Amino acid sequence: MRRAKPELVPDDQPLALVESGRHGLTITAVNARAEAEGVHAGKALVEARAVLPQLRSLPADPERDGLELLALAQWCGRYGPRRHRHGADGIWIDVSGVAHLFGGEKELLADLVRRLQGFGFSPRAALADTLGAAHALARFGAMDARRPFVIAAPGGNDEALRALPVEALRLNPETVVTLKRLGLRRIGQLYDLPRASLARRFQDLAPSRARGSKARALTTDDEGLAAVMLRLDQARGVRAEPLPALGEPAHYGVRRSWPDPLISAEALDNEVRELAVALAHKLEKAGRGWRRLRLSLYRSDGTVAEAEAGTSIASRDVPHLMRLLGERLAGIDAGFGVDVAVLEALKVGRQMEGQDALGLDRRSGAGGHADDGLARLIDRLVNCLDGARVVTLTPRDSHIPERAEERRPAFDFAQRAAAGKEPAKSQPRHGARVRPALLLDPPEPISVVAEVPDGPPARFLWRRVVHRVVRATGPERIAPEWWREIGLAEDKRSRVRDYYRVEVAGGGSCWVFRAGLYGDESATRVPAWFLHGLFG
Amino acid sequence: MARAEVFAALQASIRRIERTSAGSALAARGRSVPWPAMPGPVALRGSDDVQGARWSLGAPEVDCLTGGLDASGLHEIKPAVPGPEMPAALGRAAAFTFALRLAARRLASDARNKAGAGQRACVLFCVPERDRLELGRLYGPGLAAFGLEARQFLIVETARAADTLWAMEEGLRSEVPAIVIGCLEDLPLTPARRLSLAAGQHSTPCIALTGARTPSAGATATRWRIGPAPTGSNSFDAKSPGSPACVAALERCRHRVGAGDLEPFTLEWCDETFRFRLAAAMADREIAARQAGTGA
Repeated sequence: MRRAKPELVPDDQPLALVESGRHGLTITAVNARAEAEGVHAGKALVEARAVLPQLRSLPADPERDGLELLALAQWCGRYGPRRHRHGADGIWIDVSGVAHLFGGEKELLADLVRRLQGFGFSPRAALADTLGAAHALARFGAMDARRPFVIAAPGGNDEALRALPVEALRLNPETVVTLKRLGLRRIGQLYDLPRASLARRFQDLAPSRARGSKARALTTDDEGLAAVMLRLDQARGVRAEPLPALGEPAHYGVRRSWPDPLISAEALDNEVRELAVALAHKLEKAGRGWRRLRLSLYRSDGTVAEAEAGTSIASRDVPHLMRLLGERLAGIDAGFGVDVAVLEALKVGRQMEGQDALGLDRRSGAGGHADDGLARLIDRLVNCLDGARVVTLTPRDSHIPERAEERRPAFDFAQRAAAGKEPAKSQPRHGARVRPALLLDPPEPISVVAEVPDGPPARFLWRRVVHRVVRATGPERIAPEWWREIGLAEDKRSRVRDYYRVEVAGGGSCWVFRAGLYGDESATRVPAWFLHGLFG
Repeated sequence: MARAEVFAALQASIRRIERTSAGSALAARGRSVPWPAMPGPVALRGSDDVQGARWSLGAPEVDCLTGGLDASGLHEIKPAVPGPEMPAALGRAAAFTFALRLAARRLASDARNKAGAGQRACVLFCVPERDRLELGRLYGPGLAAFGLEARQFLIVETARAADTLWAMEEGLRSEVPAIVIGCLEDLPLTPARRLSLAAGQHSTPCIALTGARTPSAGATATRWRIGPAPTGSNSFDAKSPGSPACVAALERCRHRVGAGDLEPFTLEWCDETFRFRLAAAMADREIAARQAGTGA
């Protein structure tokens, strides 16, 4: 949450993430300030607000959190080859045999914690012989704020776990309640209990709970007991726990080397074409197409030349790729000759059906071909122009004129159009809403002579020329979007705008607005006039 | 009679003298325009159906004059020379919106003629970064007045003028856009010929918006000079601006010799039928409307 939208997460105010549950909005996460004030996860939002009225809340997004966690787990590959995310907010990493690379276990954990803190997280880390023990220590172990990690001595799991509460074993909440009712609050108490008597205790409790649904309660408790024993054994290392690890992302690349270095441009061109064919073949077996490629040419004097290209839809079309790379390739100096060439697909996408043979006849037939032509044009424009932007316009739901449309890179447009997700149709024309064809960004301030309180301008000075207004229509009042400016100081907020379409003597129409109202005593700023667009 | 001939000769020479100063040509607004009868294919069926590859502006007189705009050619639009009362931005905005209206006419006629057979409804718009600061950027919601939709546009903002030319040529060669519009500062002969060739080979019209004072390119099919004009009268409110209008001068028309000698005329754009309309001078606008019987 903090990473995605830092401006929304105030450091000095309590904040909670809420999710709607069975009993209304419940808090799923709190920041440090809120926790200091006594608000914890699991409480209902209304109770928390009663305790702390200035608590701010934002909706939780567990899916996005999950994806971020997965990406972070992928990053943790630098600490060990086997790792995965664990639960909703944890990552486990198997670091057997890795610690010496970092100079010791303590240094490994210190490095990990420091980097995670640099990312903006507040981590708690623990190192132990088994996953269960590490989980328990990380969540419930005592740590100090400056060095939030704990290391259990090798073979010292039992000692480390003894003082931890039973929630640290990964159990159901009902089972935890049952254990607490039996008086077992610490894991240490579970060590020496004979299993048979424990089973009997669970059974004794069963009749009092079986007033609801009898058979089900019994099996739950039996399973509960088995689960407790399983988790305990796993944590102590008595029973093994299989851990599925995150796989490495697939890498699509081909490489070729030659005994005699290549110098001539045609030879290089031919070889790159061969490489592209081989990569296309490899991608075809995986059912994917490339979206972003990098060609690295390693010269015989040890230097590297790279060229990158991207396409707007996943494709395996070799001639198209050669056209995209062609000009870059021509500009690469082969130096003393190229020894090795590597072509790798940095980003792959699912290949849409029916696009293997991009026909030459672009004008005939179905929309599929027309979209291909557009995608290829976009590819050419984006890849072969340096510093140019290729954008498409999509409407956005907003009253503020400069926010009413969004300029998106054309890559996305082509991909979405190919996937069949058409952008929303533009709004039907409203008779009264007249908008200019050209919008100045940002609006230019002008000095205006106008009737107060809300008359159109009679004369204005723009770009050092005085224009006399012959005809005008308006005002059209556009209020600011207050929900986007909560928390801003009063003089930073946007003001109400009154828009006028004015025609100047000699022809030409402009769209001017006045920010602020005359006669508004509560405002601290004087109303100001701006020119926002040209009608032509 | 000798006197009548001398008189006609004097009138012709006065007109020739007046026409040579390009700036004053546009100052001649408000004068009623003598419309000559031009030879050529007169039967433009309706004013929308264009035979072969031409598209019309919607105003019958102008179409008779130009014979329709060539859909495989390069058209150049220059703004009026800026003066003390007319800043450069307003003139350029007028030229810009004229180009957009031509594009709208082209898309409309294209859709009618090639309905169902792989129509291309994409407008490629190439503009260098510099122009964005002076004129502003294309605004999607404002395109509805032209009959265009924002999602038909593909906008390329380039860093250099050479890149704009390249992008326009690329667009023409790909045959994907229905029309290609580019804002260039000036258009020398060789790039103009390349664009013209590419447009001809791939049957895509190309519009180049050049600067007011730069020399004109030689290889264009038509060349227009557009300036801002007072808007038409608004029938609901006398104090509001009416339909947008511009003063257009056709400076060069390749296949009609003599079309370039005409005086500038005022074109109004009707945003309900999305067509141009020849507006008479202010003094006798009503008479002209009654006489012409056209209007929308």
